[in-house]
Amino acid sequence: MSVELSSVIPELKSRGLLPDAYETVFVSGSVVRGWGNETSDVDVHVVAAEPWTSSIGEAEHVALEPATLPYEETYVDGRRWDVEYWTTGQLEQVLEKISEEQFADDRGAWRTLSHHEVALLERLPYAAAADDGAWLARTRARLDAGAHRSVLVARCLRNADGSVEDAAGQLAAGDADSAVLAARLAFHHAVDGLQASLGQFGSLWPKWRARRMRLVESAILPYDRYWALETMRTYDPEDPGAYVREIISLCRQISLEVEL
Amino acid sequence: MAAASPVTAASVASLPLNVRIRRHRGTVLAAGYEHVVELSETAVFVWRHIDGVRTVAELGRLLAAEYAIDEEAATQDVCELFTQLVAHGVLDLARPA
Repeated sequence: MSVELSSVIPELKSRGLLPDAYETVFVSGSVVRGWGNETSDVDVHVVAAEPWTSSIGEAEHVALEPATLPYEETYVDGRRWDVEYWTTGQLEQVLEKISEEQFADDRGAWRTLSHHEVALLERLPYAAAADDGAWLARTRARLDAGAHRSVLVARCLRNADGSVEDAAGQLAAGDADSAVLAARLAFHHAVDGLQASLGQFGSLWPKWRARRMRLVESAILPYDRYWALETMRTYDPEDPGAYVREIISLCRQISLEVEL
Repeated sequence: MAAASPVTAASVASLPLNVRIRRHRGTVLAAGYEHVVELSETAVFVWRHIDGVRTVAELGRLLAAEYAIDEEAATQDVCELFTQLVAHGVLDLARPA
């Protein structure tokens, strides 16, 4: 399943979903990565100088100025398209948040990235341009020049640390079941961080974690071991602590070995 | 405040719940609630083998084998490293059995 990129802009225009003046239009998501199926949505992103006013009055929240991210939903040939509208100014703010200077700062603005900003940063490396691609190429060059990868890795490891602490604390307190759940969260965050360190971003899309794992070669966590842990093959109901300890040890190993 | 227990060859270390570790541009940092400690290459090697079971002497043996150095000196190095890490709150020390 794929999308005809040259049709995206004409489709938006014909439905009144494209501003008169825009910087770029690009498509992202599973369809672009070649992982789409019959139920997959098409994720379209429009960047323009002026804010878009949503025809359905819907907007997501972002930690930017303006603080809203308008979106539209439409159906093309029976498939749903989700269209996000970013302003040029919002894009600049997101890129500024992940500069080397911000990443080096203990209180850097990268820590304020909201869900949709992270989603954008995780999608840009795989996005497909619906125009001539110049904007996307320039923006990717800016990602590479900044701390894009480091920020996305650091977010995952920070989340993994928190869940490791929870799991260890719960296990020590005798709450093994809660510890198992926390350990699984830690495992997922740590794996996402490992993948991001190897250039496979997508922490907000856990359903594709195994797909991404197939694409990375990691001595720390080869695919077979990843899948054994993901499917809890080493979990023993008589000794849940062993699984928790195995996960904690792996998460700490990933944190130690992964380069930010 | 009671003085910290001295690290001996029989000491066993484990990682505190709150310890964070990061590798960035060739530097490895271990952070607790209050302090951040930079780990040398040999300290990273030792850190990898901290499992709450191995004694300092056993870690010293691993270190000596890895770097082809005297085992007694390596064990002393681990003692000094652990003393520093415990003082900075990024390592817990169990009492020797």
